[in-house]
Amino acid sequence: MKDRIYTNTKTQWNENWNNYSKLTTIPDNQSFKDLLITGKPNGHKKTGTGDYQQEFYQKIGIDIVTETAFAYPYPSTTEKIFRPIINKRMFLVIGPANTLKFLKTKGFQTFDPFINETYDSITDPVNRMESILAEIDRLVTLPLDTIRNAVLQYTDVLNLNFTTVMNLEKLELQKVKERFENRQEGDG
Amino acid sequence: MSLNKNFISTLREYINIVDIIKLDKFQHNFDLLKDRLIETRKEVYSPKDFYVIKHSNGQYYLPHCKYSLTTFNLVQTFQEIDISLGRVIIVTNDPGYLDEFKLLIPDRLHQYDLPIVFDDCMSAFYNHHLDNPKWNNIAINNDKIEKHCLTMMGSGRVHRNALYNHIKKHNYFNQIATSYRGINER
Repeated sequence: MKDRIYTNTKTQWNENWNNYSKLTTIPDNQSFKDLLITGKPNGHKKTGTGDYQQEFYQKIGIDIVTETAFAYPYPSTTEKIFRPIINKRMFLVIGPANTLKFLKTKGFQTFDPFINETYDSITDPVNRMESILAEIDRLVTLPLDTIRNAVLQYTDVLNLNFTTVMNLEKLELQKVKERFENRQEGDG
Repeated sequence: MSLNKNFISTLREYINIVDIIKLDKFQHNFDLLKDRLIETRKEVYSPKDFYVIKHSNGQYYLPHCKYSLTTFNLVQTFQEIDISLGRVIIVTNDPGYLDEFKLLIPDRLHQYDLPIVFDDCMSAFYNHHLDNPKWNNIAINNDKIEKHCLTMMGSGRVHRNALYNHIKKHNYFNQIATSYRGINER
């Protein structure tokens, strides 16, 4: 039998990126949930339709999306990025490098220059995280009206992103079909 | 996350699915995958016969290594029981994932032994967030904004710890609506 290589379940996510950094501190042993986050208790546990009420999302300006993976060689997206898009809110992504670049290939637009998105191209995970945190520091010190005005300023982008996500499955399935049909023609 | 039914039914228009494999179920024991493949193995595969592998997340990369342990183990397992990866369709949310197989399978075999990889189908994975009639095309309603930001974090991860610690250290809770379920898990 040939060898296989495994890691344990705790390290499967490549979370060794900042073992020696100040960032690794594990938070207090308690869950935390802001009162503004309405819905069911611990509603964010589920990805069901009822768990991300649009009324709730309207109370915030920017969703800081923490993707499943961070120190990855590829951009990687999950359902989490769909939440702000469906709810027409701006977002920044704590995920692998080039995730925003990937989203743009799917037709989505992002929020530069209001949000400094240079973090997206930083491949070193520690530097990328520091860049994101610095941008969060800047954003939270802005007057709330500046955030409200920015959301209004990006109305066209938010509407376009909503339309794009609603058409995404149809377009992607069409591409799958085209790929098979081209393959069959090639085979013939 | 599973593969959504529309994606599966589209695949069925073009291929015969021998088996649908959720790779995360085997990530820590590829002998189980080997057993599964032996159970479903066919003597002869028709050109339309394919295994469909759902690969969504949770890979581990050794330092400076361009392919993950999961990819390495997957290739090893298929080679052990002599099923060509050319009989495999992989659906992943990692764009560029095919490159890992190109590193592990010799160049001379690429024409027949590389899997087909769908690596940019965000909608292929089942979730309630797409094309759901419950989602309304709402107005922007920027006047309703009460906080600058929101972050809803699920399972414990290092990058989420970093964000949570930063929010707490600087006491941004008034500006960032925060929830973190994973604290108890790590």
